[in-house]
Amino acid sequence: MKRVTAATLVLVATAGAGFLLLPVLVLLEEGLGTPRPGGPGDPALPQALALSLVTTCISMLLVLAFGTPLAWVLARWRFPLRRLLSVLLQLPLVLPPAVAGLALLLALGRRGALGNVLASLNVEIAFTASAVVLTQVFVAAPFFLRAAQAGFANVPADIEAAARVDGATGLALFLNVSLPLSLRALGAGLTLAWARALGEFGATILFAGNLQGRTQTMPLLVYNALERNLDTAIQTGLILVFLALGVLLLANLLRAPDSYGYL
Amino acid sequence: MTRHGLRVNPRLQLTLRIVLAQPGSAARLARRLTLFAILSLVLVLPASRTLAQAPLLVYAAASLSDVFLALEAEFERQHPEIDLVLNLASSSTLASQLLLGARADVVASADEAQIARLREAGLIGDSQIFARNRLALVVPSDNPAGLRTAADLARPGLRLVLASPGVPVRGYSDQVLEQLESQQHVEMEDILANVVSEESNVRQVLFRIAYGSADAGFVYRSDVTPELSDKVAVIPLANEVNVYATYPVAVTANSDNAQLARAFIALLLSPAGQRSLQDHSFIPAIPEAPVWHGSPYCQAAPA
Repeated sequence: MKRVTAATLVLVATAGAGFLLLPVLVLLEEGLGTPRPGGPGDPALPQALALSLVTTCISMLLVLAFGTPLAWVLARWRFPLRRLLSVLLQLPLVLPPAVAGLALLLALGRRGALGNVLASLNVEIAFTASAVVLTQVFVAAPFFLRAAQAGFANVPADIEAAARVDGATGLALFLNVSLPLSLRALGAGLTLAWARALGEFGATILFAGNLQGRTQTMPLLVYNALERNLDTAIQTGLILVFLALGVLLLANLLRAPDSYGYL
Repeated sequence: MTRHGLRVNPRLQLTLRIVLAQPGSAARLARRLTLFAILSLVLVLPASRTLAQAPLLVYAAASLSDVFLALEAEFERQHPEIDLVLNLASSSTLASQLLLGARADVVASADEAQIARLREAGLIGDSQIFARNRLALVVPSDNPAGLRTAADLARPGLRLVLASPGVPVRGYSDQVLEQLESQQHVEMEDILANVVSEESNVRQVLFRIAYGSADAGFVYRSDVTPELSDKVAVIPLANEVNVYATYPVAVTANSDNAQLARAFIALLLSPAGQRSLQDHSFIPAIPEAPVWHGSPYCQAAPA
């Protein structure tokens, strides 16, 4: 009886694991297995790769610059509706990307709520790389916020108290004690935020549009190339799989060794 | 130093331990999980293929959206036992889906090129042209770029939206731009430099214009429906610059429903079908149908 139970368990578990792994393995096999004639390659691919890397790096700098103080305030200060605010700021995590794109378009598009203000400042966002960056920040920032908030909240109060006794205050205390102690959490959050930004598709195509070399990031290229050059789509997909794998390993590495993680 | 470990409530831990200590409870749990997994598979698999009368799958170009929705209702009225299911996307997307193994009964494309792709792959037999269309140069109704003629498209800084290469309306748009270059001495290169986004089908080009994020775009005349008349204005295109779009339709080679598929095509080509196409600003393809008098939807843009 026990053996039968174990056998069925193995069977179901194998089916589950197979379902999760098989599609990616087939993509890898398609991309790596069959040797391609050494053609010139699709010029859209290097352009999309460069655009993706540049925009996600800028996005992550923005996430760090604005997210770190915000996470600190949310983790350490006590004010009314703090928890509600904290939950609301995580909304983009679960918002369908198409809805996020539509919301951005309605807020920042030319006919959007802020469109007139931006137009009077002569700032055009739609169809530019800035729109790509803003979209990435919008959808990816909550990953960083969550991790950073947890990190800041978990800095032991007695260590900070000891530092205060030794005369550290304000920014010095933050930079020398609190920040180093939450670095792992910040790193893990930033890594996942980067992965989310890199993979962003639905909101980008809605808000930023799709133009090779200007707003066509790698996920947009995969979608666009499907119809004209499947090989390009597969190669782009392959690069994204490896980048995702790297992110996953890095995030695991950054996770505290004795924890199941807050991610 | 505290870490953020998985903290299990001690009471829950105790409960778990007691439950798991019951003789056979782990086995029961495993059996239940297995049962659950099998049940969910049983529930999911039939969803991928209906057991009752299979629906008639019609793959149609995005520009046919409105008229095919009307024809769907008409077809289902004639064949109450049949569910007609429309898959609306750019013809190039439809062709790619079919080339990757999707199942369909009817394909209606906005150009011959996609039909040729499918025929070369042996996925369809003969095709028949059931409608024609013309292009329309559209701007947001407040015309923010102050476009007056198609030649203005070359003006630096204008934000033009086209469909992606491969999408039929892009092919027709490029033909119009070539005509502009040869007849009105506008550099096509200058116009293409103004492209700010390439959309995946004609309806998305229209969306960019209707919601004002772009200054101009090329769509079909039939896309400028009455509902959009307060959002979109049409810049007239000279007849010698404009081109005709042709819409071929075919039954797929692997259709399980070839007879019904032919019935749908017959409806398209019938006087009622042709009238419906005409009502939606397409140009009927069957000579017996009444002569086309131009689109009632097209109106001049504010200068």
